[in-house]
Amino acid sequence: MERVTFQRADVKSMLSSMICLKFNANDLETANLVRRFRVEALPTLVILDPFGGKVYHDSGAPVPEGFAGYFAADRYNKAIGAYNAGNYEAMAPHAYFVLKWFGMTKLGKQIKKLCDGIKDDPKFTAAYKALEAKHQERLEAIKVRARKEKEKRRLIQAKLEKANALYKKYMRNAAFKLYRELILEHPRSPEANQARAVLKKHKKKWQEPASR
Amino acid sequence: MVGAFALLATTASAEIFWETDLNAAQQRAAAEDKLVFIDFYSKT
Repeated sequence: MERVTFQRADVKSMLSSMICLKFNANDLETANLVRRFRVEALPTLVILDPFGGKVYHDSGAPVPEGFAGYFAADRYNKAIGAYNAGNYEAMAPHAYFVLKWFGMTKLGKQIKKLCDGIKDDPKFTAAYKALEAKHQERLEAIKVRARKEKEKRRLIQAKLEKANALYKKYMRNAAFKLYRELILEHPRSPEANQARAVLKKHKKKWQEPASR
Repeated sequence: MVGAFALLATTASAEIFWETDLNAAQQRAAAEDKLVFIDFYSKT
């Protein structure tokens, strides 16, 4: 694939819109990933959506000529099937998938034409818009979670810095109190490990939170 | 000439950048609304 498929302009165009990772499955360092993604034959290709869900997972190398459209083919066929049956509402999720992720491929362009032809169908439009809204909602939820996590990390680091500053000023009891709080409040954080190390060095006791 | 230059620029911009950190890739995928493509290969 490296010498032929990944050198093709259409494949480069498709993959340049994705975040691409490459792992030598024989490396010891990738053993966890090999287990996690159940890699049983090579090559194995996996595609994940922005939420971590599997969109594609299979072993074997698609032929270079069909590679760019390969991953959309199944959903394309389902969209065409629903379209031919006149069930535009059922077509929507498949069309959305192909257009959203593989709109630049030949299959994507064909689906776009069909969608343009039925854009006045109320059921199709409602279903399609609902999918777009749901996707945006999930993305927003991830962003909110990431912002909260970042703020949490900032507060934990600030607490450790404060504890370390007190420690350096020989205000040890105040520092130990903060270290203990860190362990209780954020037991799995790297900062809690640092707090444990300091308390251990001074032969001080601390309480671990009760396991939930 | 202009057409050829434009074509060259389009082709050159479509490059695959291979990464190796899955966690970072997944965070970026969520932030940028992109798919993550993973190639498990065998180096012989």
